[in-house]
Amino acid sequence: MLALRYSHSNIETTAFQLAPIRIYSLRIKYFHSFFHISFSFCLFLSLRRYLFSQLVCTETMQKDLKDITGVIFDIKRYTLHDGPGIRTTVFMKGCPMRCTWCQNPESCRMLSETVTNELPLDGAVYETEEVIGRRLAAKDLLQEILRDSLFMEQSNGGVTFSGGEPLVQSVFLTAILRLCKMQLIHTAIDTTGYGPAGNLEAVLPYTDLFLYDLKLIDTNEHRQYTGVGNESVIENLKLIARAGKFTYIRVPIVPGITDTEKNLHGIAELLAQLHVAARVDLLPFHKAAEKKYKRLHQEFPAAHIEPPTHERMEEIKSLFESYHLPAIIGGVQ
Amino acid sequence: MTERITRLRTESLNAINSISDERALLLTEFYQATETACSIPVTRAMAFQYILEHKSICINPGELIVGERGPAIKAVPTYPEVCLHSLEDLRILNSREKVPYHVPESVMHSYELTVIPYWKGKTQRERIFAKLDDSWKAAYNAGIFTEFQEQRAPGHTVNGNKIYHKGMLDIIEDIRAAKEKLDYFNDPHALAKADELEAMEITAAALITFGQRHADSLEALAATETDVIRKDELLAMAKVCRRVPAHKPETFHEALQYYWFVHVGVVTELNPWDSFNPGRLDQHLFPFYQAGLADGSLTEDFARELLQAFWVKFNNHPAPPKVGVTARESGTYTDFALINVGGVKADGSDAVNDLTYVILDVIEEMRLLQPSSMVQVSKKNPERFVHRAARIIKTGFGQPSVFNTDAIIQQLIRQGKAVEDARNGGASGCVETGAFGTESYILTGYFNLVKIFEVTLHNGADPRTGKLIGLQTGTAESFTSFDDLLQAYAKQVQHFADIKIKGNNIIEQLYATYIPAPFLSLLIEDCIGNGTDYNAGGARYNTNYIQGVGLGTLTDILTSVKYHVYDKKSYTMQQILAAIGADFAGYENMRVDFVYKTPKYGNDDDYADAQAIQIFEIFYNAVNGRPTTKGGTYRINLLPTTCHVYFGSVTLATPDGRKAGEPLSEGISPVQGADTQGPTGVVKSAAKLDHIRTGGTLLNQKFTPHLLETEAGLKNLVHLIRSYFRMDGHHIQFNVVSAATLREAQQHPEKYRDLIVRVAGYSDYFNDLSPELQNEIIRRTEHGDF
Repeated sequence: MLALRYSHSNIETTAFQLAPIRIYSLRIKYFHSFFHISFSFCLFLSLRRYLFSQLVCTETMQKDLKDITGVIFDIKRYTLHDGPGIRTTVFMKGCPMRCTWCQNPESCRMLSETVTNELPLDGAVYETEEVIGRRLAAKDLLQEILRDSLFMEQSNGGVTFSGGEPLVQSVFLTAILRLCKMQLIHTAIDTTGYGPAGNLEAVLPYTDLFLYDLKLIDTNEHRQYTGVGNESVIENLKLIARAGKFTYIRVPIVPGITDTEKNLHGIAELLAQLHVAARVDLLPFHKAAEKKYKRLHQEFPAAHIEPPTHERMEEIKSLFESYHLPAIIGGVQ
Repeated sequence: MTERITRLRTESLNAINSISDERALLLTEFYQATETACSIPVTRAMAFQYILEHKSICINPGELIVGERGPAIKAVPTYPEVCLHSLEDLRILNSREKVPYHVPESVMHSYELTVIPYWKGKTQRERIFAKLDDSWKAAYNAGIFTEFQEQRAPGHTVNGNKIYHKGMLDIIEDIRAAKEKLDYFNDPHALAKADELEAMEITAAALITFGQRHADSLEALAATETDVIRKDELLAMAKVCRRVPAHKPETFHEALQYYWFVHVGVVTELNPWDSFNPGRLDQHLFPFYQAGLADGSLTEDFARELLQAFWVKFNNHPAPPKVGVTARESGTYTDFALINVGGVKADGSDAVNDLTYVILDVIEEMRLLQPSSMVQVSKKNPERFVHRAARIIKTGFGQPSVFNTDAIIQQLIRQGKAVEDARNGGASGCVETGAFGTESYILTGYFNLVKIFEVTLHNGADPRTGKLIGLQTGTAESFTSFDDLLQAYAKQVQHFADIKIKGNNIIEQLYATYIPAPFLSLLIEDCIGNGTDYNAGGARYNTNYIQGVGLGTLTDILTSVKYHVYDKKSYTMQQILAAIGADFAGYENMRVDFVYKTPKYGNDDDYADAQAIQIFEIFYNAVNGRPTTKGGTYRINLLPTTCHVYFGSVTLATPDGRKAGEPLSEGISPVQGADTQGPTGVVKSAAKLDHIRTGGTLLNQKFTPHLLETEAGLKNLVHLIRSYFRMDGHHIQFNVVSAATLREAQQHPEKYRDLIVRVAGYSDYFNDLSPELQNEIIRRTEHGDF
């Protein structure tokens, strides 16, 4: 629902710049009817999706893509673990899940939030306010990404959109992905896979690689530990499998939650069935985010959990390999 | 590593650095005994001959390559004709905490009774200081610049491939031919040239004698050797020393031994900066390696062992001792022989060969700080080569450093070198570009770009002493715009560059007149053909450098002033002056603003990087293109050795938040900890400078070992290097940091804001991690180091 609402708000800003939509917007003004507003937006959405699917790329469209805005909370350069080569990772704000082990608690909310940051200097600590999250236009984000285009080209790297859940801002995400593809930049999405199929379909043509999380195979457990069921996660994965997209499946190994035999076999069986995974990255739970929770004045819900042992990770690796699924601990070769 | 090499290596590492009076006494003896009417070059050549004929021959047990500069491993000779150490100097050398040299009592005695009484008043250092004017001395004492040639002779050059084609006897033939060609009718310098050529011939003959003396000793050792294997070895080595340096080498062993005799010759004649350097070792030795393997006279294992034995010889030679400011600008035992591998051949094709990889193995296995080593990376070199180098870098001892061959060639061609000479070149010392075997490229001194800005802010005065040393370009408050401030700074830079260059020209002439280097002149083209000494402009190319220091710090200072005073107007110039005068005591919040809330160089931020470019242009315009007294040209390069620490110690607090006395940034690297955007941000900022118009820049990049532990991490390191080089970056060096550094980072996080660590499935900035995780990574790092 969050995703849908946000998509609408983005369309609203764009609508007035697209010629055909002007008619609708005039109509909106004229009729002042909620029904018509909803109707016109739905119509617009399908129209837009049609245009994307046809890869129509008029100058007007490009200009519009560039002006679509979204909210991000960080851009990290020289990230080595979010796909091949030297990459820039864009962290988008807002997530429909609330995972117990979440490593990016600052990414959950869609809105900007102010936190207190500590600046150490000569043993003393100075406090400063930092705003997490900023809204920016796709064209400005593109410029940030292009800063390292030479490194991306040299290393067969690219850009990875992570979060939060990037699909939450699916219109913005589609826009920036399209702009990146126009610049011949390799694109990856690090996603929970959760959300309406339409959000995923919109980005499919412009995404070279999916880093796709599979956390819990049982939807009730999924709901218990992430706040939402996994039906759309699994349906969307099938969609990616049908599209034949290059995909790394990422399984967080959280002791006592995701590392049960039942869950791991369940995930492996699904993957073996779908023939979707280029490889399976097994990401051991860690407590790196503790400091972040402190800054946000939040409790780290997984503070009591200890990281899995190396031996356990090796066992899990063998488990996936027994299904002929190439597995990598930590996700980097 | 063979048992022999392990032992030689350990002996070298364990030997104590000490001062030997052997050379000083032989030189004194020679001059006391010789009343000669000969010219200075000939007299110096005779002195060189006297030393090589009389110095003790040192052959260490198990050695394969022979020849020591002193009577024993790490026994360092002195050069009283250049710089006469006082008894007090010797006491300091003996007792100082960092970089000490043991001075035996016997040396103190001979200095007191023989060396000092003879040389006092006759040294080059005294001549130099007698001729330099007050403005030079005021600037020197204030720490505006240093002077390389006040304790050590000019050097900064690298062996070409001449010796692999010509024995000393062939070189003597060339000298005689040059003498024959002298034109006494049209050349007013014909007589001086004849003297110089005569001096050269004496030194060439002296080296042959030195080789024969080693052969004699080896044969004598063989006669009493009971181990039959060693006996054969000694006889084989004697045969090598009978052949080289008199004749051109025929085998791999002879080639290495010949170079080493030449090396010892150069560092016995004088104490040149950067000692001497074999340069493109894989190129020079490859034909011998190939031929030896083909005819069965050499195995890969023996080639490896010979190279390792050769490596040990460099480690046996700590730098000649330096005192005072010169010790502070280069406070290290390293003597900067920098071996080059890779790059391109004279015809421009890929030069990487089988021997390149053998040498890289040797670098990794020997893990010695001397010789330094580097890889020349051209776009034409294969990935395997760069990956092999990256694997050694990953082990974290800072070698090999990585250079951009294609940029070096562009630099040399821009300076007017022939394309073949450019391709035969490389980098020596720290990062200095040179045409090997054909160029004299003299580093003349470090230049404190930051201190000059401090003087600009104080209207020409040094605020530490109140003394007027610069121009009165106006008070800091009087500059109504940032451009006015920059113009004043440019005038001060020009002023101090003038003072420095005037001093250089005096010193250069004093070396040309009083301290010729006829032996070194044998090796560098076209000294023989020109009949002119290396120190007098005999080389084919002559370049003088002034090395700018503190580019990163000054960029951040100017950016801070521009940002806070002129653009945002958050502080007035007066407030800033008050804060830096108080070393930020009472101005802590301002300092936080400067450190954390101001754009910084090293983050690919155009706002900050614009100042780096302007500083570069100001410095470049003040120095580049000016004539030297040897008919060459002044150029700039950007490197510090350890001078950024000294220059920082003489500079008060600065408006980038740096406190008084703290080190400046090094090379073209960002201020320590100021780069927060990761390595691509750093190299993009650094690449905004025009490296092609320099003779070398130095960029250091820190990495934790964990960032390189996967294949993907290593590959991306290579990609990072290649990307920097595509942007014409000159040099990059990786500091793969240790647990000790991480602990230091915990204590002073503000200085390590750029430190990236590998966590688990992702990387993060060390500062962003919880203390518990930091501790965990430190523990892991310790494990990794083990």
